[in-house]
Amino acid sequence: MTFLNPVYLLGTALVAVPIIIHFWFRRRLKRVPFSSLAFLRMTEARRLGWLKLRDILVLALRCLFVLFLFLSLAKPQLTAPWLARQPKIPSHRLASVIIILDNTYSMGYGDNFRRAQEAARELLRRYSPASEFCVVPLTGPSRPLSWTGLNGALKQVEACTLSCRTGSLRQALENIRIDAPAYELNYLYVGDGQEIVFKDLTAKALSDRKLIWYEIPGGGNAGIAQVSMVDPVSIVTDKYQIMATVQNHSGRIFRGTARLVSQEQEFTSDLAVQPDQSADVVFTLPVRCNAGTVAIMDDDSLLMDNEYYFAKTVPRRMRVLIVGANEYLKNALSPVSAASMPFDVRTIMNLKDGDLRMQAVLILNNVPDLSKGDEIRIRDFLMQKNTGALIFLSNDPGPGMRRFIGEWAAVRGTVAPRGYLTLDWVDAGSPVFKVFKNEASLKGIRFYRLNDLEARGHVLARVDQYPLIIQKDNVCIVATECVPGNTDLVYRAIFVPLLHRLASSVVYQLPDREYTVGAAVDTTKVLQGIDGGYRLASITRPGLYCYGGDTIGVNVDPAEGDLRSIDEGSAAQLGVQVLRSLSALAGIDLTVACLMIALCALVIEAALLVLR
Amino acid sequence: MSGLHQSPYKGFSQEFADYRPYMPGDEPRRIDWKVFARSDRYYIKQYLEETNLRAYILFDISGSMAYGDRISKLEYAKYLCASLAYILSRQKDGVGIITFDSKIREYVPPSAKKVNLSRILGVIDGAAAGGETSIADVLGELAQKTKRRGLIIIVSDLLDQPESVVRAIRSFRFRKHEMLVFQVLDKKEFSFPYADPALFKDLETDDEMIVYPAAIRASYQKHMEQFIAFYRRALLEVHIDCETVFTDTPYDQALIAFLHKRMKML
Repeated sequence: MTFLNPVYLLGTALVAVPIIIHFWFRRRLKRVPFSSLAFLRMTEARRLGWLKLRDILVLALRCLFVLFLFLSLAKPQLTAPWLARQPKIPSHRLASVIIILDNTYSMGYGDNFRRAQEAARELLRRYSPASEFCVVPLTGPSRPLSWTGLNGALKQVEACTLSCRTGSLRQALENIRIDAPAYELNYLYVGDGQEIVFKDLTAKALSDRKLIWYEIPGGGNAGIAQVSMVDPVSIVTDKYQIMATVQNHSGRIFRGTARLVSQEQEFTSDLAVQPDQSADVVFTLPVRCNAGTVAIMDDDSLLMDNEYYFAKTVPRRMRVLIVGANEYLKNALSPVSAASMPFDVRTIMNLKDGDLRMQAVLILNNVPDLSKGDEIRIRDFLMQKNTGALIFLSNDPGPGMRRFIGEWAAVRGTVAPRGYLTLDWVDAGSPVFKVFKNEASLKGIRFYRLNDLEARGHVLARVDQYPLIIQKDNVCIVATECVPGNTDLVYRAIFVPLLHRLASSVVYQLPDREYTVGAAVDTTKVLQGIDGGYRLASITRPGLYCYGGDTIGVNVDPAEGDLRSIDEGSAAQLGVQVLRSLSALAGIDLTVACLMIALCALVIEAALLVLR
Repeated sequence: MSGLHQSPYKGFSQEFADYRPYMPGDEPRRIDWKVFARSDRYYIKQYLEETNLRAYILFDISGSMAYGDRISKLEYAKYLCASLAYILSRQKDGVGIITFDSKIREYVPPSAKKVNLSRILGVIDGAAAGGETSIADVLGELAQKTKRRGLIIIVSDLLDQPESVVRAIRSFRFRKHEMLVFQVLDKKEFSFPYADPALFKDLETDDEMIVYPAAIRASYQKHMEQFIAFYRRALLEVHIDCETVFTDTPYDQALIAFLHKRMKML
């Protein structure tokens, strides 16, 4: 038996108080002269035994109450070895202790991080002060570590701050570079044990390290997982819609309000999200509101993951240059009314005649071949900001064209079936076809002739097994010219909207403008075609950041919002011992039992006093 | 002749009472020869025996009599005894007093002299409560002193062994003594109004015990009722009046009750 607060054991001396009071009370009993005790003796005789017994019982119960009250304050722990199921850390053990303190963003739930710090301190104090210690924040960078004394370790725990980043236990363990330990190594992890923290951690990775996980229980949480445009390629003139995906990580229904703030305008929407489900909230915004914050109101959540920073590039009206005669294309894209149509279309017969400056979309229609100069001009054009090309391949394209499109597709031959082939697969998840999902109009579109392409980009649609549309970056290759001799698509209702979306999609690749804190971003790739270079790795706090006239929203990792921990079984499979309370370090906590005995003694005493 | 009380015994005196036929064993000298001459039958003349009443007031001064709230039972009994003595003395009856606890403490023999009343009142006035009660022993001792029949008035709380007390009183009654018992009690002895646990001390034995009044009140009252009822029933069987008076009962009421009962005896 050990006591976590042994100083309270001094209070057990107060057991003498009820005994003293008992006898003092007897001495202080009022003396009443009475004529004869004969009748009193007659009446008391039957009860006297019980009353004496009751007096003794009451005295004993009072003593028990005081005794067990102070015992409960002293927090007794039963330390019999056969009773202990939880891992034990014997007191004053000499060891080399590495304590990994979870400072990932999820630890910001409630006062979890403070509790983790306290737990870490308690764990450290449990070892011998002569031990050597090392405190490793879970999200800390890889750097050489050194052993320190107890006081140094306590200061390191105190200095550790909550991060907005996510972290990996495996990474943290791999990053530990430290001198050889003087004593037996002890690994301790103090944190909420999110699944993401244990991700990639295997028993093999742990090898012979014995890791004890002191669990800080997480809570419920609902957070915004993503904010996206409802229709990212549609060309809008006044309003557009964005959609916030709210993920409920808790086990109960979340009911609340989503609020979007942008350009000093506020939009709200009520929502209810089932446990462990997500729900989408759609906001309709004016075009000028292209960046802001979406937040959901919830007291029982992390603070920042339910406040999401977004910045969206809304498609703008653009100029289209069609090279090659195709009335169907021209009519589909030409404005009926200059005010309502998103494209400003010009048609030329020869690329040499066209001025590619100020153009947004270049459509090569049935251009049989490209000269070296044309190729250079087109590549220069595509390097510019907000530009793209849509290429409808001619039948049997020439070598210049084949060379030019080689980056996206290789022409293997021509497909000319005796009858026709039909469009039988589209990438419904792509922005181009997203709006046509479940649309019957996509079915049965006939193709009589097309090129057999080897896709080197993302295939958006197939005719039979042949790729029809291949997209990569800001170039889209269509395997055939849209003329009635090749396909009946030109007569279909979806032709115009499909063309619009294809033309838009090549210009607005819409890179995900929302990043996570500390994300390692390949700046060249991400910022291609936009402007400048962002160094997002240096950003440590969520928020809206402006770089070179663009706005980006930086958020915490959405996975950090999921506060669920891995279960004990999974931890056991990894060989991780789970410690749920500090008191369990010493053994079975008898505090509640002592308190219950004290309360029982009090209740029985009261009952005895009432029961006369 | 002195005293207002008629003797219930018929014997020699100057006041004729009645005739009765001569019975063998009667003294021949008591035959009324004139009646014999007229009726040729033997009759004996009977006369009322006109003697002074010899009254004994047995005043219990045991420790238990000291109990009382505003007025102790002893104080109340003192007034009661003094009143009785005064009344009897004024009736020219011989009155004496015996104070006792476990034995006789003071004894003033019955006398109709005025000076005797003063002695009695002196004894009453000087009586102090103390000692244990033993009414049976006292009555046995008194039997040695009272050769003639008389009126015996017991003023006591009768907190003694009821069976032995009743047995002793009955033995007096069988010896033709008139008996009258005043049982003096305090209301608190009956109602037992105490609330908190207390250390109760016996005024006679100085014994102490912790008592939880609330726990035993009902039972105590029941025992007390049985105690009073026992005396009444047992004494009534031998035609002895037992008057239970509480210390808050006005004396005149107690005395009127006494006088009313005595009227029946005349």
